[in-house]
Amino acid sequence: MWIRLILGMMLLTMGIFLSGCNGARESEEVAYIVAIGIDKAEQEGMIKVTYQIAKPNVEGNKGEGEKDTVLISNSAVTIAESLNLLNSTTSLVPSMSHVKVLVVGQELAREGLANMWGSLKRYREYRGSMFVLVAKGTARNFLEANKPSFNISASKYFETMLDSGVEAGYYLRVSFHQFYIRLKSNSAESYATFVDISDLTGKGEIATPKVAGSKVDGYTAGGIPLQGGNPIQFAGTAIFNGDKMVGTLSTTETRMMAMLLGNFNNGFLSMEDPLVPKKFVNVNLRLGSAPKIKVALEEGRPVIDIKIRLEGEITNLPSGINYEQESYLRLLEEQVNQVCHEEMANMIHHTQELKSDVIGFGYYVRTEFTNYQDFLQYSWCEEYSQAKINITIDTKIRRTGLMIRTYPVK
Amino acid sequence: MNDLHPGKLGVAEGIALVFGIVMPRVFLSTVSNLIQQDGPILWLAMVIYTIIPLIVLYMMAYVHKGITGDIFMVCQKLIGTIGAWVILLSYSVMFLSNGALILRLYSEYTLLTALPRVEFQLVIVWYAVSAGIVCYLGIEALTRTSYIVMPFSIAAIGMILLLLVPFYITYNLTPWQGNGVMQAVQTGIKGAGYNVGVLALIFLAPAFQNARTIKKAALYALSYAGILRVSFILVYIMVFGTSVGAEKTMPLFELARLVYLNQYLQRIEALFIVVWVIFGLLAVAGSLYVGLYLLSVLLKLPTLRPIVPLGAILIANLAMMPPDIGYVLEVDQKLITLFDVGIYVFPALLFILAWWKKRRGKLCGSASS
Repeated sequence: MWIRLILGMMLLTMGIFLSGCNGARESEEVAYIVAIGIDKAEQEGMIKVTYQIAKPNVEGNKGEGEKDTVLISNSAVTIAESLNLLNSTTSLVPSMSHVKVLVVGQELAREGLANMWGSLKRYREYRGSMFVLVAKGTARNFLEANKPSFNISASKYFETMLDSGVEAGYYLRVSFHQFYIRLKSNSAESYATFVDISDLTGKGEIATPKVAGSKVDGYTAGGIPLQGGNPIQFAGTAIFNGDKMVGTLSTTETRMMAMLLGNFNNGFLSMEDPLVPKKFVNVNLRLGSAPKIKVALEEGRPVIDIKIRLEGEITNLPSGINYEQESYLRLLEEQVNQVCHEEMANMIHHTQELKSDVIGFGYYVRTEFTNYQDFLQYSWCEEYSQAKINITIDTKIRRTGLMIRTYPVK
Repeated sequence: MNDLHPGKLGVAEGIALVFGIVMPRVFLSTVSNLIQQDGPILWLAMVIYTIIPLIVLYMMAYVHKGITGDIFMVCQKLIGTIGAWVILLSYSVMFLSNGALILRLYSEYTLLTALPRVEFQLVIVWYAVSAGIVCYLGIEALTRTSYIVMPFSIAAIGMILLLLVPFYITYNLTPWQGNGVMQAVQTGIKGAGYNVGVLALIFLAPAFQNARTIKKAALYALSYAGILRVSFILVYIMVFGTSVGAEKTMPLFELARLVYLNQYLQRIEALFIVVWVIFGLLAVAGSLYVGLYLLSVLLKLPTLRPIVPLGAILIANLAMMPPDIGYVLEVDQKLITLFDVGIYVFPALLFILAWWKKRRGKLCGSASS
């Protein structure tokens, strides 16, 4: 009886004193960082770290024009030291457990990120689900310029913005986990969402000109002709070789990359009308099935066979030609095949030039080896640039939208 | 019948006991070390080191067959009193050191994941006291608690593995031979010692209903543990690959941390910390119980309750001895040699002696007739 009583008392006491409430902190005592920007500092060997910190009391009752976050930057040798310095400038305890995005300035990304990434993966407050962005200018300027048009919090903005990338395929959401595993893998290179600030003048800058049969040019962030709204743009992809950024892919190239990664949800394709090239046709495309990719080694040289199946729905036919009919429909499907084929081939060629297999064809070549050590000795990065590429696009336009025929305008 | 031998335990309790002792290493760094050795073929090693202990258990069941009494009596009849002392004392050391090691690792990981500001000693003491209480309540309380927790734990791990489907890269499992089939077989044979916990069924045989119960419990427990381990390894390699997979301190925690389906389904690892803490607690309690039980049998104690606090203090102190986590992991890798003695050498010796004695008995019987 006594033993049970003592045990019961012990459990009760432990329950009270070991429940962890002693170390608890109220939310207004914590500086929740929603975004971290990392740039090269002016001082040699240092980095400039910018923290976007949420103001907890503003959430939900934000007034017109009032910002729900503050930006604080400091320069330090490492991110950890920068956090120490941050502690000296704010009364709140910094917490990285709610960081949504990690923005890296292009200059720093081109110099290499290996020294920084290790610490981020090791410390428990950083999560693999943070998203990685590369800013064309500086990360600080990007975070400063971000003024969401709608009354949503900064963290929600980043999350919804990156979620909605699948709607067009013009930028891809990349988590820190995805970035990191590619950094350590021999099978693929890392990539990140490319972002920049628009001057809002409405003037654009074409990154990749339209291919034959297409009506659409490719842009990268900052180059999209834009007026009004939030000046920041998510467009294109920053691609890496090892830990160094080596180039960018435009919006149209990123869409092709999304198709090859099997991440292409849907998106409009605007192309020339096959019979009246001055007019255009809009088709809403999506992947019909997962991409079929095979990589074989022929005399040591990789040969990559790609089969993409697309399904589409006509969304606009200004020419009035009856493409809804089976015989004409084939022309339309051929046009989609031709445009996508050329855009995809250009995109792959671009990555081959930069020796950056961001698609991850290297994963498919692994089946050619029986032993992991043999695969590790195979220099995929070099071999990829010499690979022969065979692309087959097979489009099936399944639906014609809400109209079954079009009468020409009188 | 004394306190040590209730004789009421059935298949379910046996499954829970073995599963509880052998499973928690999945949550620890052992997997990362093994991936570094074997690469993508680690699953094969897992299959092997699930099958070997099962064979060993059947060998030990054969040893036990026809010789009545507890494990000490069995060993005494086969190898003499000194031999029995050596064997059972070695097993006791194995289980207690396993308990101490798991206690230390779980305490470290609790500090690392959930309570970074708490004093390390406090966490160790907290775990040791909790394990001691479970142990004090007896084998029935221990095994039945484990049995209640087991389905939830399996479901929780299964759920994590499924929620990570968007992160699967199946090609990470290739080249299929990894660092070599022979290397995987070697790891499987060498790592079988980690499953020495299955012998708890033999040591506690008088507490179970009959030999059939023990065999069935071992079969189910190792099968469940094996399936879960192989699934876990496959998913872990698919998600992290070989290089990053070998970097992780806490594989399961890292997997749970990665779950991100959308804005509303993420950050679920906090829920799983509870699961693995309970798992770890039961594993420590199970190892402590078996270690102390063997000592009780050797010392012919009618009950092990008076030595439970001593045992808990002993493993807590043992757990606090290594100066840092790196040293703990080193000890973990070296301890496998001791466990391998427990899974290969002693059972093989007892099996050969039992087989030889039974054969000799038959020969003598036929000669005299």
